[in-house]
Amino acid sequence: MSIQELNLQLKNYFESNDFTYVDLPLVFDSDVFYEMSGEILRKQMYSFYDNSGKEKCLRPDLTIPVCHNYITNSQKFKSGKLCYSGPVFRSSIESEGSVELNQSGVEIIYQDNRNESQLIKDIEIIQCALETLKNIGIEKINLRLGNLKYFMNFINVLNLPQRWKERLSRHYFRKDYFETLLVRLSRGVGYNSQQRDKIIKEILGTETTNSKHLRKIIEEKNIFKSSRTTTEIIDRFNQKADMIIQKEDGLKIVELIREYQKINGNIDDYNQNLNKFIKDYDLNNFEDNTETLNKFNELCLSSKSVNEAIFLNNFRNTIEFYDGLIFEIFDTSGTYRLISGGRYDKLLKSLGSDEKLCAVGFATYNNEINKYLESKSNGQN
Amino acid sequence: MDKIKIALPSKGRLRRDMETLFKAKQISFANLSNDRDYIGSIEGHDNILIYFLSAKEITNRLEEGSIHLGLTGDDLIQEKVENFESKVSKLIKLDFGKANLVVAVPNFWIDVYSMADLEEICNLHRLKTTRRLRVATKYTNLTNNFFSKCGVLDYRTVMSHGSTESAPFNGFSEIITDITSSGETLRANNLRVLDDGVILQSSANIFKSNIAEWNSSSEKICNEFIDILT
Repeated sequence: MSIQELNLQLKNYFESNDFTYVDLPLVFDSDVFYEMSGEILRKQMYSFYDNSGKEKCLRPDLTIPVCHNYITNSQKFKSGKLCYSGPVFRSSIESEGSVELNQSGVEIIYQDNRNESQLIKDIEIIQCALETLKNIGIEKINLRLGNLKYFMNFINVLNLPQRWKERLSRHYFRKDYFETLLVRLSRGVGYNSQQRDKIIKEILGTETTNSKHLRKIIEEKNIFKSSRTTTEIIDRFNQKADMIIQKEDGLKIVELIREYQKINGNIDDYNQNLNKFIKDYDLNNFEDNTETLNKFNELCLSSKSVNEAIFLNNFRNTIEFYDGLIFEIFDTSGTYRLISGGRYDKLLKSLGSDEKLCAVGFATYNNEINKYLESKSNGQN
Repeated sequence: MDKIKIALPSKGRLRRDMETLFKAKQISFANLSNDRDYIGSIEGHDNILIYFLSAKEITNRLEEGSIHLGLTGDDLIQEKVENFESKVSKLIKLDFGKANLVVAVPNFWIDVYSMADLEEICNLHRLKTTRRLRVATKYTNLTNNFFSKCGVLDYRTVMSHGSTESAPFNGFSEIITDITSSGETLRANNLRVLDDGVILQSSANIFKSNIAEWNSSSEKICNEFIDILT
């Protein structure tokens, strides 16, 4: 089967399952991708300047344009079940020198943000992914699951300043920088009153500890047309001084984070391992994810196509807009990545949606799928 | 007879420092009709052709291989030459032209003194305004690489062609990255370098173009020239 035939077959399959096809241009303003996607995608983009000097790019991804299209033309769509199929353009190892990768995918955009509804939609999207593969003759797969919300729940029970909780969550997907943050945290963060006074003296040349006086000094110096207000600067300065993590505490927290990230394995054992971790480290107020995990486990057990399902606390995806469930589907040998997907509720707000919309979706890797199907027909798998 | 082409700075402090060095090494230029001549040679070395060019032009010529050796700064090489490690080799690190490419913020941002602080500020700025924090610079590539390494994502560079240090004052950007040797200009403009905000420690160097045509004869001439200079 040619890539074009596969693209078409998947498009037809999605449409027959009530997904509305969104026809998208190949060229977009680069800005929307710069704003929404992470550094890795940014480096892989093919961009250029048009005659008016505006930066354009060949679409490197289809989720962002589909969601953007939905938000700006929502009256055109009878539901938030959308699909796409066709080439995206990236310079990456997976494209093996080709600039063109082919993807087909679905996005389910909806309004109900209750936890129960989220779980139902998360299950629905994985089921849809499994059925899609079945439809093109892929009966057995391996499933890898992760969830950024679980990580955020874990971070929330740690004795960390809110700023640091947000920082760690924000950089969860960036393995190297996340590690840099852990090293930094292990050295202790924040400063005491002596250090605070020293900073004021060194930077502003004054010895004041009086907030009003400090405000007046900064106000006088804020002669720039600065986008940061004096209040923002002083508030953040005080927050940093208020929230000190001593080196010993920093080291303990980092150890805990590292141990949490080691809880990976078969979905059957995950809850047991997590509960042991919670008990071992005496973590109170840890939000219980047992029921959610059980539902995923039921799905895997009931689906005849899931050969192996693992849940990973250190699951990282290169797409940074995912903010909840993330999953990847491989062939049973683990050689070919066939599908990846997840939840990205915050993306729609970032794209300008006034409504509180939620979204889950996935994309197929059609070049990989084709290679896998070829290897199967050649008897290699 | 084989000749090698060497480009040296044509003006400014870099030229003066280069002339001082050459004088100390008893190297004299020949065949110059006046101080502003752009082509010459070195006395006693007829197989060396000297071009006097701007540091930026020397960088371009090294990249395309139309000169064999050139004197220019690390900052220009690393900013302007894509995959510079494969295209040029540093032969001599010189003791002048020293300057740092740094990240500088308004001095009164008393809560910001590290790149981690800047990362958080950029994120807060984007959440507040839906726009990214603007960084005025002449060095977009070096800035992007450094910011990426430091986890700073929510920013955008604004190209500056001069007087970068005034950009925050004029409202063209919130912060800057710029080259500085003493830091005086930054201080005079109420800007402060972040504690870990040194992107590059640059100096003048003699670079060899790996793209230029080399043979045993030109390699020999090159080695002789380097011997005189070191």
